[in-house]
Amino acid sequence: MSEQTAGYRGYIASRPVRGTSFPQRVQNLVVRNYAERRGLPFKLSLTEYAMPRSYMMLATLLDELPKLDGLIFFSMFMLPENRERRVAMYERVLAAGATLHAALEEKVLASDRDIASFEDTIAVAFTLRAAPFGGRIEKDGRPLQASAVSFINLTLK
Amino acid sequence: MSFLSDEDRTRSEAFLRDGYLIVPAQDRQALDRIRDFVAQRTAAFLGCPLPPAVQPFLDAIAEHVTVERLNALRLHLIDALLGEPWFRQAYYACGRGVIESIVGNELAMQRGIGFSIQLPQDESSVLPLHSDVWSEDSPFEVVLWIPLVDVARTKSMFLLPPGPDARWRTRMHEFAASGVDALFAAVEDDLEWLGIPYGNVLLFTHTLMHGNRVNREPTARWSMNVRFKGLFTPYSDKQLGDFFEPITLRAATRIGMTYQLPGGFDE
Repeated sequence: MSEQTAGYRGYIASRPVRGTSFPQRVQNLVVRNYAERRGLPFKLSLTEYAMPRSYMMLATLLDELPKLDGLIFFSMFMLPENRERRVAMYERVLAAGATLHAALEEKVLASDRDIASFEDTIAVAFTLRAAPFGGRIEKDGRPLQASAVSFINLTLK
Repeated sequence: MSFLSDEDRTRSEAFLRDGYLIVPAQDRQALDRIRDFVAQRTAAFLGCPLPPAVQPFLDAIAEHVTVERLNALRLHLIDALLGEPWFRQAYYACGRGVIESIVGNELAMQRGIGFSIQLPQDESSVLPLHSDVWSEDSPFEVVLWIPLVDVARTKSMFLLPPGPDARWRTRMHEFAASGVDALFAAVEDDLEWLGIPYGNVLLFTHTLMHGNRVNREPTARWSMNVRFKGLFTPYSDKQLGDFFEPITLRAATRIGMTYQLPGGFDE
């Protein structure tokens, strides 16, 4: 907080995040609460456009970086899906001496060492789409396997 | 066909039969480090001297803290533990082998921690009968539950074994109007109370009904719990990122996740 204009700008979504649509009011509550608990001076959030693959607001935020201490994303899964684009963004944030926060996941990217932690989680989450059952269990009352036998009662064959 | 080792097979059969395993902590030094850290931070928080014998101090903590201050102490300890860079690795080290036998070796670990202090006769710390899968958890998760003191009977937790659990699950709708206390009364005779001396860890499936009651023993219960699951098994509402994170990502997975087929071909 070296200058009067510094602070942390929020960044919230108009598109579903990992398939779930969060009301923007809820996103703002999560971001603001994250900032309060960590004593981060909070500046109002920018809202990304709804069009798929649009990161225009994010580009605006990056241009504002020299006047900010950092960014607080509602979720790390609002980062661009393209890995090269994400990494370029991390580098730009770090080069500006700023930090990138993900409020929902309570994660901070403050140095090169933090990139691996962000990237491992994002890469696995994307890969889960190709995992059995899409990596997700729906609680519709039916067991995942075809028969009605619960997996807990399977015997070792 | 199964190529499980004898040890893995024995553990798997017991886990499927009983729903849990109790084994000595794999890394006893790691467990002692966690317990000693908790005791030190507790003494500092309460402003009382830390005696050389840690376990009697923890057992008798009701002499130093009121029920009203208990939650503040609990939250303080959770923050302190999660603030230590060694803590989560130490926790995993306590149960590494048994987790790998039951779950696998490419794992997601809960980022936070459950921490319980249950004073004798404290009615505010009761955890009613439940299965975690009935709320936000995936049935693919297991819980590594570690006591910091000797626990048994009402100072411990109870579990409904797989057989009775399956039977009562089919009848659960009969309690729709009467509620959880009525369900507890119905299953009470089938419950198993888990006796776990300090130095051991419990791994159990939270698909089974479990919980605790008022601690009627003369000393306090101290326990921690953290969930683990196969990294690529299905998640429920506790997702990778906000709740879980990868802890043992393997080289083949890293290669597979980033591999790109040759491109540039035309019709």
